[in-house]
Amino acid sequence: MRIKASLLIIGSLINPSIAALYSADHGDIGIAYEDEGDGPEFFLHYHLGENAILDGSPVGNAPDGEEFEPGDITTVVPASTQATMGSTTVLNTGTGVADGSPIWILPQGDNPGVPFLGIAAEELDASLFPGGVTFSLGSVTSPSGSGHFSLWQQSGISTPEFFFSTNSPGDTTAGNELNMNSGAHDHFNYGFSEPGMWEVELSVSAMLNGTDLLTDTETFSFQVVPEPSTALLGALGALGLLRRRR
Amino acid sequence: MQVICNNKSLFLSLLALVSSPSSAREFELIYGHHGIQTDYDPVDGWNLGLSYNLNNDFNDRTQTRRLPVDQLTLIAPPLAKGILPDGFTFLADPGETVWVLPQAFDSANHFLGMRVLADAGIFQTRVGDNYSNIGRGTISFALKSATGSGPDRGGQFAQWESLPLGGNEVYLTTRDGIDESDEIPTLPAGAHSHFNWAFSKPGNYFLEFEVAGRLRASGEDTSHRQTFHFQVPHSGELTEINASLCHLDQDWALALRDPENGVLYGPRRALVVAAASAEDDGFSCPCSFDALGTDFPDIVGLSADFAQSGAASSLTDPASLRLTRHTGPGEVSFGTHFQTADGLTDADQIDLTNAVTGNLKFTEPGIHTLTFQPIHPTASKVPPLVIRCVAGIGFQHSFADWADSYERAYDLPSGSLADPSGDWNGDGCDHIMEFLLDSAGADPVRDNPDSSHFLPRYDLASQRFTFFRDLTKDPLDEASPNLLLSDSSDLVNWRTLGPKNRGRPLEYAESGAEEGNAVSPFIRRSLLLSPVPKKWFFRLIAE
Repeated sequence: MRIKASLLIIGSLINPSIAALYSADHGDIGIAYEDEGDGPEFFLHYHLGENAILDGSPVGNAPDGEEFEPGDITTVVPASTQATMGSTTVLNTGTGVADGSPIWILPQGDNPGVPFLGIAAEELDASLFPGGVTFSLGSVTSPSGSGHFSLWQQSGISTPEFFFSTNSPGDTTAGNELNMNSGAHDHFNYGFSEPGMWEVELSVSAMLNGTDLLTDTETFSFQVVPEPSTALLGALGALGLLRRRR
Repeated sequence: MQVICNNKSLFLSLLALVSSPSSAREFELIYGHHGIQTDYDPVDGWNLGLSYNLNNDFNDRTQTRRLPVDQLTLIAPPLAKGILPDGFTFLADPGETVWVLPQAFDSANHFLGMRVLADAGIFQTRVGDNYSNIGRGTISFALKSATGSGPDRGGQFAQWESLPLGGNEVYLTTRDGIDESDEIPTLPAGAHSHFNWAFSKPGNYFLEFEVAGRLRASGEDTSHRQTFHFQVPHSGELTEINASLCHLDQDWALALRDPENGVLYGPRRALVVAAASAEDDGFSCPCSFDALGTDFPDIVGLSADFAQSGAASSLTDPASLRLTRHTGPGEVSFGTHFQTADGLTDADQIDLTNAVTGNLKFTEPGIHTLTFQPIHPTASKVPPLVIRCVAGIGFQHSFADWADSYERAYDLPSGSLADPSGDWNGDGCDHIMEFLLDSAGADPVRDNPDSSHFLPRYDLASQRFTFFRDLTKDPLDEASPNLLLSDSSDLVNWRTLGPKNRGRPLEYAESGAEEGNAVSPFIRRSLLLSPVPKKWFFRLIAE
């Protein structure tokens, strides 16, 4: 297993991607409706806060932080997020992780040294998008090809609510769709069933003025780090830093 | 000059001139995304308050709006209420009713975050009880006291974080007392994160919090305290009438006591549920009337002075109450004091020289509104005093129950009021709006001559557009008919102000307008207009 994990990391090192590593603090997967020169359109992106750690350094640009194309960022799921799944049916089904097996979770709470990754429609004006916005889970590529990705919330005195589940879409709130009000911003648990490089395709759709359908689709990369590879993660971060400054 | 437009339009705006001022705090919030915000500046020092973002983008410090804590109340909305499962004994026992402001966003609830705006490098970073100069620096957030009528009746408060795989990280809890362990030990400079906030009994909670940190430059510890006000509404549901006739200056009120819970409900703030009668096919509830004052800790919709001022003590001559109208199906009677079967006359009154007790009886199921007039030499032009009851239908009854009740009350053909978009009396309010405003006195068949204080109107004194919410019918969710505020600059294009539209500045958002020191699901609300716009239009809509 250790050899496999190392190979996966090496694989990611030679990946042609030059994505920068987002490794800690607050950021969002956000949707905006803006004009980049070709008329107003949907823009699905990363919005990393000023304190978010990108390639080992804070993003800066206070107070807003910066926005990035999804393809330019790889979100690190650190080894410290590894947990052992217990025996809770709704969690086992939703995450696709059995009792006693490992799971890596980007948590909905803010933990030091871990990306605090929200999902945000706060840039959308409710008067333009009165019906809110829908995030849909597309294809998911796991390191082994058979891993499971999930997105859920634990809150208050409620049972866990799953929004995305590659293992059991039928047990999600709306069939692998997440509906958010315009102007909303929320946090979730992102579950990964195995270490390595993941690619998660997300689509957004909304009705402009309640009539015109707008959509966008992007692929988000996650590097789930197994316990032995902390040193390699440092190497990855340094490499990313060099690339960004070049 | 602004123009206020609503379904009762200018008629209601003029009536606002005779309104009494509200004792409400300026910001009485019942839902929304806001945060308990800590600011620290080396020159200005601490500020601990509540903030939201004008553009709803909490990454954007430039759009932060801070609200004065002494003018702020956070009210638990209907969907905060739940039954506690196993695993939360730090708050209450399993099976108890609790109110939770959750960690995750819910448009029908508060989304109450914790936010720290302090530059990196001002504070040392705490790990356990050790401090160092690494990182951005951290502060702590601690609970120092919990007081008010909620804690006085045994209510507990807790704040915790839900863990991804179940379980909870508990930071603050009053159930085992308040000590140094009741803290979030580290909130990083720049943090914005969310927690669960919960309460176990209705009433007022004044929570005193302390933020603290160790300065990197001097090594000195510094701290600051602030008290926040939370309100958990009382149920507003009564199974018997324990009525108190109050008189203060020129004003009269008929208030309903809930002795078991120590709550006094002012006009229209409670609904009495009459049970099926064991004696006949009708419905009844125990009933008493007196003119004694009431000194309860929580008073809904009435000032404390008014509540304590019973007519028997404030007046030299004894007062009576005359039943002037019964709006509802069938007949109503109260022993020999009044009964509607033979029509209402001057004889249908209750002498309050002494307390009067008995059973109130209804012959038919439905919604029953009893309207009384105080009889006393000083009582002239007194607005009607109202007790609202339901019989044979639920405290939370449906639109169909409402339509059926009014059809039978006015002998209308069945189905006359069944269309939510219909308007039987042609007053501009459709039936679904009349349903939502039933507790405010809206009548779908006749005019509404006597209930102006509760129907939508503009209050010139407070510069607020006020209205009356019935949270049993509209719990602010997306499944029920919603009573929503809407605004326009041209009377053509209207925007909705409500739970689904949260990015709006609170200057034009819903706040409180309630009297007393407590609330129920029947709650007087307002649209804050500060500053008052030069030309703008507002209305209520039901959708």
